[in-house]
Amino acid sequence: MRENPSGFEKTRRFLSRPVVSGALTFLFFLIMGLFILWQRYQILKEAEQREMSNLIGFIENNIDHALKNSYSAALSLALLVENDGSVSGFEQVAPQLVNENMVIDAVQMVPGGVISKVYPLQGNHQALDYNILKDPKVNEEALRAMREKKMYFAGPLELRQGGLAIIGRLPVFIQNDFWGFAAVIIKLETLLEQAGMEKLRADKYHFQFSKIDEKTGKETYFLPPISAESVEHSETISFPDGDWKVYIALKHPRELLYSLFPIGFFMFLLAAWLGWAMTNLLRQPEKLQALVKMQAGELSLSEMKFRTIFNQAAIGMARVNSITGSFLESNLRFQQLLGYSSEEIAELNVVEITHPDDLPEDVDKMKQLRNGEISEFSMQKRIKRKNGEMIWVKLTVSPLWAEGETPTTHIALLEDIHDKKMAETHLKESYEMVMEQNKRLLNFSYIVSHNLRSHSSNIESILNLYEETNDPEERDNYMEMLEKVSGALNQTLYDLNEVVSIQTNLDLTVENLKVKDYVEDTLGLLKVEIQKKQAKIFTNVPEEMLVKFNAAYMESVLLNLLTNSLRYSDPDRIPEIYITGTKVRGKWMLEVKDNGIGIDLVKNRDKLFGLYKTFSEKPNSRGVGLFITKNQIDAMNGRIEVESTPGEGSVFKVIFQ
Amino acid sequence: MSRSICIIDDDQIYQIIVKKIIFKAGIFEKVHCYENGYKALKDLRDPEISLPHLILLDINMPGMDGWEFLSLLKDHRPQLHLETSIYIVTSSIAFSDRDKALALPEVLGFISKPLTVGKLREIGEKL
Repeated sequence: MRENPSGFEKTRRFLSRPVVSGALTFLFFLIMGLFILWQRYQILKEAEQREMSNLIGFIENNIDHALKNSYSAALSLALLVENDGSVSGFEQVAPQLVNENMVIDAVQMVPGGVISKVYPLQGNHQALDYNILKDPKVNEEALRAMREKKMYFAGPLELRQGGLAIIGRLPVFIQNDFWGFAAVIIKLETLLEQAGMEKLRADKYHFQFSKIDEKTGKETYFLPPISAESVEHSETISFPDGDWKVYIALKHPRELLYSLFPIGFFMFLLAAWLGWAMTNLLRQPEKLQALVKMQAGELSLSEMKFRTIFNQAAIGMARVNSITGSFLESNLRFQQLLGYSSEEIAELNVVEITHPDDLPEDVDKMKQLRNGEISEFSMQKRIKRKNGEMIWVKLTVSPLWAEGETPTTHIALLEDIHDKKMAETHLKESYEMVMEQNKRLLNFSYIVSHNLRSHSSNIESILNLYEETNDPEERDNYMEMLEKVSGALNQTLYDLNEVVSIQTNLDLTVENLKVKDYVEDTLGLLKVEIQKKQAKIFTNVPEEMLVKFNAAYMESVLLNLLTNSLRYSDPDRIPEIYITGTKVRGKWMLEVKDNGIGIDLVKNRDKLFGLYKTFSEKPNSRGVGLFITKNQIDAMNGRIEVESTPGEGSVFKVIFQ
Repeated sequence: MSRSICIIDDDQIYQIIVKKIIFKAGIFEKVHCYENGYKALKDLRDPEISLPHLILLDINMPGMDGWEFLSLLKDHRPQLHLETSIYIVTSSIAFSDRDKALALPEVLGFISKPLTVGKLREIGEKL
């Protein structure tokens, strides 16, 4: 049964989704930003309120001050009233009061409610003789001052002489009998100016001045009306001396809020950016994972390609441990070349399959590669197959370690060049053979030309001499000489014929010859010479010594060697000739050793087996015997060697195939 | 002044012939013959004796050939080319022999056999 994820698990997964986390981050920062904005708004609002309180306090002070001054002025006027009810000195005091107090526009004396005196008269004379107590429009406030027996500011009201003004009326009593009023007229305009309202931030604030009707409680406004919205953000003060109220209100109450909008917008953007960044940040692992997955795919594809190339290649490939030389991995072609299975190859190492003669070069080059002296190498070498066969390969080695790193493994490429190499070897052998034959041919033609010419030139000379003489005796002499030359020419032709016959005789019958028999036969032929020289012959040729050779050549070789030993014997010694047959490294060798005059091999080694090369002053040495002997042995694929010390003797060794 | 000539050659018949030719040419009074380099060198290497005016030398001889004789004689007589005139007289017509002979400073000429009275007189005039 499948397990349903728990609610918590679901939530956790949901929250771990980048978009959700981003949205939450956005909300968090947005709320936090709004909270900070709200706080700021409150602080600013409080500051605004405080400023308004300060302003209104200042206005209150100014108005109070103005009212007090008015009161003092009214009092000064009241003191002008004599006990008899007459007023004295108004004309002197009034200008003084009006001039000293900026706020006071005019002063009046109002005995019994009738304006009897006024200063300045100019502009105010209409007010004269006006009974304020009798005018129901204005008597209310005058009566109130009488009743309360204290100064009360009436208005603002429309003056008879024009303009809005406040009238401060101080009731004057003479021994508790009401006399009248000492009045101070303050134009509203002047009061407001005095209060400093116009000067104080008229651009930022609205002001209002109102009067509350004592009886009806109705409020009358004297300044341009303030919007209801502004009223909400206002401060007020009351003046009981005139039942006034002064308002201060912001002209643009929403300005504060609006001023925070750019910051709010910025905070919104910041929160949005943070949300987006968070989303991206959380998506990063997902992206990386996708990238890793993609690259892993590519890697496995290239690995597959490499595998295919490695396995299907027509060249033998192996990965080899560069230190031990053991094979770590090999392809099919490599296994075919060696004839071993992949498992068997894993057990082998480079040394075991390399031909011993090629090993030093291989080892040396590997050493250079490990030391970083060379970056790769290739060489031709022979490898040993499983069946023991040696085949030629071209080896190319490329290291699998980077420059400067410790050697680890390398790739060895094996290319089968066996057939090519064999063809090359055969070609080389053929070339050498042809060169050798060519050399012999040149030598031969030289000899032929030289020897025949020596006779022909002699004949020519003799015939010339013969022609030029008439003496019969001398002529006979020349004929004898001609006969001698003819004989010598014949001999030369015979020798040359023999040489030519060896060199052209390619298919001679070769049979197993018992050497002992042939030695005895030859000694029989030389019996006379041996006896004449009193030579001692020591023969030690084993019965089983059988060699593959041509019979006629065998006779010729033995006769030549033994004749030479006898002919070049030292006249001061009894000649001794040792004939020995031995087996050396699987091959039969016949040795003919004498104690004759010997040959100076330092001078003559290269001439020894040459045609017409003679080394003694014996008249019958023609320089043909050893030449023919060597040619006969060569024709039988054998070898002849010589050791000799002048004055002690010579040893000729024939090594049979 | 009697002129002397020396023949070094292993061919017996040639020696007889050449003596006849020398006699016929009539330039030389004294004639010496050697059948190989050894014998000639034995006589001629002594710096005390004066060399013959003309030496006719063969190349192919048993034992010591003409080249060897020349080089050994020069070892004994460093001023050889001032002391005598040497001509190579051989039955060889190989260019290699000719070139080799003419490259030697002490060799004045290379003559292929047969030597004739005319050739000998020609040489004799140059002495």
